Amino acid sequence: MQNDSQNLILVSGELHMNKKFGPNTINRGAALFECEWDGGRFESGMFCGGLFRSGQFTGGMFIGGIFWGGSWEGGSWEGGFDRAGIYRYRSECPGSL
Amino acid sequence: MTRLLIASPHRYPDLARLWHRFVMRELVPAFAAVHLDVEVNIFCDDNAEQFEPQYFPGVRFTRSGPGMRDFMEFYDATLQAPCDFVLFLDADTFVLDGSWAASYFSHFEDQRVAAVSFVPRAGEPAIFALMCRVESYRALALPTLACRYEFPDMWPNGVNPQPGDVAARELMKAGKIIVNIGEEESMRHVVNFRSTTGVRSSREQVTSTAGDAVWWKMVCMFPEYLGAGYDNLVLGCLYEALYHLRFAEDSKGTALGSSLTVAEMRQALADMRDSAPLDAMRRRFQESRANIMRLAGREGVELAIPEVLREAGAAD
Repeated sequence: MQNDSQNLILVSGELHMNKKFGPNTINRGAALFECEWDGGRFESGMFCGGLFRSGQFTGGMFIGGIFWGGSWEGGSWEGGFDRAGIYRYRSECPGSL
Repeated sequence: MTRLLIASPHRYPDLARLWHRFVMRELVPAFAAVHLDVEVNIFCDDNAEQFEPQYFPGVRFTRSGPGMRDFMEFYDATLQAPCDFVLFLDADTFVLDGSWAASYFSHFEDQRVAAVSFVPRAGEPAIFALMCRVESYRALALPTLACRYEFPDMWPNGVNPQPGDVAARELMKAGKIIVNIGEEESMRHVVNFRSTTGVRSSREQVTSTAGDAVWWKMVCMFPEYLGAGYDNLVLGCLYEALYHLRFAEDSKGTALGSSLTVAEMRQALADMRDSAPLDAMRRRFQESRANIMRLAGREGVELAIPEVLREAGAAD
């Protein structure tokens, strides 16, 4: 992890489990398992399981998590759940619902 | 004539060859013998270009695409296929006695019977080997067979039904019956490996998005990967004995390189210090070895399975 004056930046090679990340977080390549993402910017890496509560998903892979809210701007949707808990198939990313 | 479709999603053609071998020898003739018109369908969830039809005689292939974007959607799409019954059979599930499986078809004479589950999960019906009356399943809401996350507002304490679980619940609520074969009987007739595709796809996904180092951390953190990796190791022994080809090879041609190699297994096990998980792993490996020996016995081949735990003990 790197900290600049305002942001927590997650980078490639990092693995996080069962953690919560807030609005000042940027992911640039870390793998997140069963984490809660609340407000930051997910640029690359892997979001596996977990709850995407809010923020921007702009790149990386989303698999098996719940996309509760936030904006989907890019990345690879490998499958996951909408906020009703319904499974959304590969490529059926939140923007396409 | 009543039509039975045997359907399975696959990502890897090597595992699919083993699956196909047992399906064509055990299941197809046994169900044909009870007067069913049997068709076999493999859904290529990935790597479609690697599935060479000459190795899969008698199979109809479908590829991922619109309407079948992944294996979950394949399940529901298959329920709409022109057939009367579907037998969903996991990619790493092997029925050793087709006549035993076919004998259960007579249960459908009772119109209340919606399905027969040949392999339970924790005592409940599961999709590992599930023969469905499509008419019953078509009456359910879509998505029918996909997994679900119930009470998502309670995450991480919600409920995560697996594929087919919600359908089973809805069918039973409507008065339908799912014949649920118990574990003891199931294990006498079916060999079921676990997560062998999952460990391979996870390796692909994790290394491509987060790098090799993260993959290795996961292998060391989650014993499930070692269990599934060992299942691939023993399946690889059978595959090599039958076809003289490497199983689960990576882009460099390393055997098991797209799963866990023997060297990687040994290293991960050598790094395990607690005896309890090692003992659990030892039992899991014994189960896998017993399973593969049953398949090998059916094929009349002998297998030499590399030791992965002995070296770990020696390192201690």
